[in-house]
Amino acid sequence: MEKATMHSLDMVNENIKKIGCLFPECITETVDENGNVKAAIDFEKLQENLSHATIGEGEERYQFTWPGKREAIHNANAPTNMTLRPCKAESVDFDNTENLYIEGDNLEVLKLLQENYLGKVKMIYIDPPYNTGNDFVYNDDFKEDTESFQSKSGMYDEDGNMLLQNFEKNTESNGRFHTDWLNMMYPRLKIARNLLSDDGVIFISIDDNEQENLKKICDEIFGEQNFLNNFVWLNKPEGRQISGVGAAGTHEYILLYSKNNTKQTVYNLSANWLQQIMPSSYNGINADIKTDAKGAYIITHELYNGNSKFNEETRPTLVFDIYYRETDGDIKIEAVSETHIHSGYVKIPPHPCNDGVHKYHAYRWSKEKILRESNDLEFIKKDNSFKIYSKRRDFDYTAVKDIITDIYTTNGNKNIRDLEIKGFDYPKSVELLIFLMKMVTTFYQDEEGESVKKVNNSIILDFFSGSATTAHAVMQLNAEDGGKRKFICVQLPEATAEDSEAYKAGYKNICEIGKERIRRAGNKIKEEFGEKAKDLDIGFRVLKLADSNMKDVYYSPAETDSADIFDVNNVKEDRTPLDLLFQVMPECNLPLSSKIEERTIEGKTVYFVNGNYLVACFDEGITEKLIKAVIDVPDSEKPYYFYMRNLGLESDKVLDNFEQLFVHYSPTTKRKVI
Amino acid sequence: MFGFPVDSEIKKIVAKDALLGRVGMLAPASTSQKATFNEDIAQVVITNVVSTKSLPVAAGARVKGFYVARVSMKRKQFNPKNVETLLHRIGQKNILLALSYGDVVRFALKYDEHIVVSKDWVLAGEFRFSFSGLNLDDVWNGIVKQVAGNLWSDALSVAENLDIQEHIAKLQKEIANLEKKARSENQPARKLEFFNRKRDLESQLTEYQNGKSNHAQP
Repeated sequence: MEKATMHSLDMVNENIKKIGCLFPECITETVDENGNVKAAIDFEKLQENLSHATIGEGEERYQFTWPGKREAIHNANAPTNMTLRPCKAESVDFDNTENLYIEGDNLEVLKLLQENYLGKVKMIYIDPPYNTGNDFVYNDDFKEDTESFQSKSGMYDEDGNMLLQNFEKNTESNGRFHTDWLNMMYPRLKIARNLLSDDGVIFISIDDNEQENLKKICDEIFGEQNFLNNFVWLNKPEGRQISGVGAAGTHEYILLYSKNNTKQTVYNLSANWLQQIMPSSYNGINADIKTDAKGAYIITHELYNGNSKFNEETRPTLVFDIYYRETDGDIKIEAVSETHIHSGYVKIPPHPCNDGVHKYHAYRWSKEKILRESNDLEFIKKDNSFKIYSKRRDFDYTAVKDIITDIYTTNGNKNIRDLEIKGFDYPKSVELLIFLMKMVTTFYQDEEGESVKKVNNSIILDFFSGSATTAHAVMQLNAEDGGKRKFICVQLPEATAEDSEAYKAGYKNICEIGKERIRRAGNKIKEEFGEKAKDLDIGFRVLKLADSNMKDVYYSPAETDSADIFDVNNVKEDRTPLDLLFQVMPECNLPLSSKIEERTIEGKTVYFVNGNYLVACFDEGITEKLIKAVIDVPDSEKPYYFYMRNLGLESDKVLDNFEQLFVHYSPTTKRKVI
Repeated sequence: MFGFPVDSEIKKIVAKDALLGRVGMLAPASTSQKATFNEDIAQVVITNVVSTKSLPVAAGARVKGFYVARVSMKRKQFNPKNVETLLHRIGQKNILLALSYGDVVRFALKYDEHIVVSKDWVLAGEFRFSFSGLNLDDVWNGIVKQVAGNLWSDALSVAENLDIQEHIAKLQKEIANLEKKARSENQPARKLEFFNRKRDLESQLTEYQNGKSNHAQP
């Protein structure tokens, strides 16, 4: 019987593993402060491996730094033993939905997500505070002092809303202007990168206040080579004069970084669609759309290769005469000849080459392909001869540009006004998010490097969720294209000011606005799309960040008298079995949106998560009969993990037989006790 | 025997040496192949030649006649590779093998590139094939269907049915394999990945078994 860890991933250990993969000889062992043996890196050996490429202390180097950076890195790597408590009452369709709405400080939440969403998120969009001097910046001090964090009194008011004393306005007057903001962003982005899949990307909205600093820390965290674009979003074309000097501001930025730029392709989208949403930047399809028996097509290129490098010398098999019979479209192909004729056919010689050396341009298609696929060619008569064009059937796409126009800040206001939601300033617009999402989640590369459309089930994360525009956009886009994208929104339950619109409308904190917005948007989309959206997931599971379900004794048993370690109730009194379940799910790598089935066996509640993958019972008084009912089943139905509490078993007799039962009936089940 | 007409019966022993030597374009079997073959197969005897002479039906476009051979097996848990080798080297396209062990029998045949072996042992004295159709193509296809066993859709061609059956067998094998991997894996992320892959395949399998899937070629 193993003891469950009940805390998030320690990234330092993960980093040790990564270095170990490259330089196994650098892995060694040492003893921690409690005398336990642990893995460590032999730094001297690592330096030997990198002999002439290391920089000694104090030597000059290219770097971007600020006070507290080291602390920020440490912050990102340290594990947390906080937990996410499910809140069924505020959720929508809790049992079936795959979407998550998480309330709490996003640094802690990201750390918790690291356990089971490591490398699984396809797209992250964040709209962090721009550090304009008026927005709040997370004050991370409370995390250093867990005492104050865990005593609810300092953190929340009686309604459970986070108090503003935990944030401070980041104004120039507090003298640590960029530093605070960077210390807030750095650890969050560092963890965010861990969550991205190999082909994942992150979009970050920002304006001139911190754009340069953001780019610098992103270059460091994601790698300069993984910078893809700095989108200019023309969000206020009428201009806004804030500073009183210089020109009026019309735009913001959206930075785009990938986890691995080799996994990205050119972003193509439907030219028609782009023209609809951004008529100032896109002209749609610049060609006449024609139709033949096979369907719609356009013609853009003649059949010869415009590059004179491809000629009769370099491509002799691609230079020939084509004979075309206009009456029935029949084609014959012969070697180039001045004199040869076919009666009834018009001769079309290869395109002359003007490089002064060669006579002809080569064709782009082989003889065989021309004869085989002649219905994909168009012959257009010109002065007794013909020009040959290839038909493009898949013509409705064009490369996306790094400027975003025709979508304004006011669109976002309209989005929430339509849902009759009040009290949120400057929400991002749904159209903007749909544009970004379409760009990275409607195409993927197949083995041949072709972009292919597919039903998409990407996970989309927004850890500065605010008014939950991202969630709204995910549902809207899924309804439009039948995708199965899932959202994870994270937002701090920042209390709304008592004199604000939101407070008067009954929203005590930002999360309440966000959740209500998702509910209303989901219903509206369902209504609008009718039958097409009948399987659309408009639900979400609400999870709330809280201190650990376990008492301190769980994490530091050494400080407790060991004689009674097994008689100690190590779970906090106010926690439910479902709370415990959500703290152990990440240990089995199960997503927090996994299907949970609740069964009553022998009068106790037993949870089955993801089918028979994880079976857990956190009630007391578990009998042998119950254990047998769970594990004496056909082989394919036996649990992979079984969890229970340390005081879960009915008697010492059951405890004695516990291991034996598993060895006998289900030896492959990993059993763990909390 | 097995319901074939009495006047189709013959008795012609096929020499194993001839089977394993050079057959037409095929090179002689290797020493190890021969050894493996001899571990399972004692004797091959052609017992019936079924044609328009012995069955009151017309010749088919594909099948003008077919053979039945009794193969005496040395053990019940035979190596399926040997049955494949035998079907491959016997030089007849349409031949039904009755793999006999004591008083029980299983059947095997080749249809294009598909090797079809019946799943269960049946009592040789009691088993009868049923024949139907207007020509030998229909009769032979009926035999293929009976040997292949369950899960047959008359709406699909024989080849399509066999494709689906092969795909199902492959899925079942893969599922068992993933189950084993998922149970023995200690690393949580990989363990879950194996489990989820297994579940995906299981739902594919259910789809196939319910005949929802109309692709013969998955």
